[in-house]
Amino acid sequence: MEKEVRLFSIRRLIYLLLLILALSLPLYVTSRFFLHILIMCCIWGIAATSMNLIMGYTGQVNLAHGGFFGIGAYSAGLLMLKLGFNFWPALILACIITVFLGFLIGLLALRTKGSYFAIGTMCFNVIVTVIIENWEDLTEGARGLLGIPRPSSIPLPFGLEISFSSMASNYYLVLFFLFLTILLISRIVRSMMGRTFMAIRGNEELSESLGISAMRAKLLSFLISTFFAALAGVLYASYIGFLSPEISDYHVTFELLIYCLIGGLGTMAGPLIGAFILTVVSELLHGVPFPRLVAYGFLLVVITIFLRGGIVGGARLLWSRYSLKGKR
Amino acid sequence: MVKVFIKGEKMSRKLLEVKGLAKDFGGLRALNGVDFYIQEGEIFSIIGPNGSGKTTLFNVITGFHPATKGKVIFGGEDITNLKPFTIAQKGIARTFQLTAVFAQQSVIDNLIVGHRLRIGAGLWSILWGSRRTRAEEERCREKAEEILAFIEMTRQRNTISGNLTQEAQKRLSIGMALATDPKLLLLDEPTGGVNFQEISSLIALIGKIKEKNITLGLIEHKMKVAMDIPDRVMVLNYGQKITEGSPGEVCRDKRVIEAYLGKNYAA
Repeated sequence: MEKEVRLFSIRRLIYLLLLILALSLPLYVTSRFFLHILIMCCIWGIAATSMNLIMGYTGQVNLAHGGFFGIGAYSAGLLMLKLGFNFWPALILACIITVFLGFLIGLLALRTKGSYFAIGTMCFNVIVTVIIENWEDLTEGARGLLGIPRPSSIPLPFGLEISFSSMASNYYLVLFFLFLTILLISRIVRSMMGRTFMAIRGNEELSESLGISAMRAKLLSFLISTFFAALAGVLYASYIGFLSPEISDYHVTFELLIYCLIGGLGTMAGPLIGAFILTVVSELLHGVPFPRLVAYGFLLVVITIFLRGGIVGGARLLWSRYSLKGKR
Repeated sequence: MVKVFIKGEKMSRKLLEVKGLAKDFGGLRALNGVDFYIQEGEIFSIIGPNGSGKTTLFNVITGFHPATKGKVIFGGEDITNLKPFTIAQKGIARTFQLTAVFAQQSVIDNLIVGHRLRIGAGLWSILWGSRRTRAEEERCREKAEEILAFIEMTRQRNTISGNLTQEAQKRLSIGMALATDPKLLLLDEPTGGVNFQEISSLIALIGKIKEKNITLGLIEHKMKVAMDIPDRVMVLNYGQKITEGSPGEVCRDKRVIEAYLGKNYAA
């Protein structure tokens, strides 16, 4: 019991240190390039964490996640460019629009199970991209959306304001949303709702016999993950300022999937670790002509053969071996 | 006279009533007009040769298969063809023939989720971290601890349930069903695949459940279990009810012997 308490506080200490590190990073990382990488890490971290909820904790392989990321990004971009919306209402509305579309898709797709669900959602993802590409009146098609504005500044009392013109302020913006995502999703995962999701991952029939409505729980998990995917999409749209149909492509889905798998599905830290490592690596190798997807594929094969639980799973295995030795 | 009257009064309290239940799988009639009832507080056993429709009967009662014809009435309410989770919420819990537990999770976690259906756990209160949500989760935990002691698995509290023995998994699956606070508990072969010594401990557990005033319906193959513990027995063969009665009556019944051993033994 004593050991458990001590471990718990060590864990808290680590979280605190990470928080301080994340908050103080712009003090010594002043290069625009490195701040850009950090911002991308946070955005992909949000998207991967949200995918982990439906895939890792609820056990439904949702391959439409990139589609929802794209829908969120495009909704926000169109609301701001075509209807002249401010960033903040556009953010909220884009998330609502995406969740609504997610509800329609989820209702259909979640009637299928296992690999059929995976195939169905992937088809949906392809359809989203095709629609964005071809509905030129609305989305400008392959030309893309140009000049999506950065978030408008938030006025504070005494004539002060938070503006989002500098890189550091943009970093703090996405960091805030990353923390919010982690906080809310980890709350869900640790609650009875999270236990319900994990029960469905374990055995859907058994869950139903215990009075759990599998459809309801799966749809809820699907919608929550869709919401955060849209959030990541909106942040991406406003930060990059330019959108093309590729941002909703199924390649995005697979990149997110790879982040989750490499970091460790079904763990809170896994998708974040995966997203951070791979984003850093791929941004650093941006100039090098390097077949990225081939490398990912190779990495994936290695992970599934030797390290099923990803990086976090491997670390846990090492930790349990180490602590067993300590007991003997 | 008075005594008989009281007994009669008790007899009339039917917890579950099944009327003319039929189930077709394509051209195969798995159940054909089955009528029976289970009284409050008794142990009711369903026996029959392989493929006689016992598990199908459970699956139709608990909503896993839709009924082709007939009615299932539970506590005076028609529950035919409701969804499995609704039926569980109404108070019928069940176990599966192929023991089902959440294999990757610990024993206590398995039991905690068993009480999920009795609490709210709404999204907003979880995101907000409200006090009520925490109180509800605490209730699930307490229930799980209570059941853990009841099924005598306190020592395996943190064991990953996939690593338990078959007997312990059966115990756990019964525990999870109990965690739903059922009025009626349907056990599909509670002693299947369990060795001879361990059977008696499971029988003891079933006895303890009866003492808690939970009505039991069970499917059994092993004669020791099927004949020793139930108050009444029903025999199925080819989807039809052959007979029903006390264990003693049933095992002397000609038709039952015929169904199990063939015509030559029935004389």
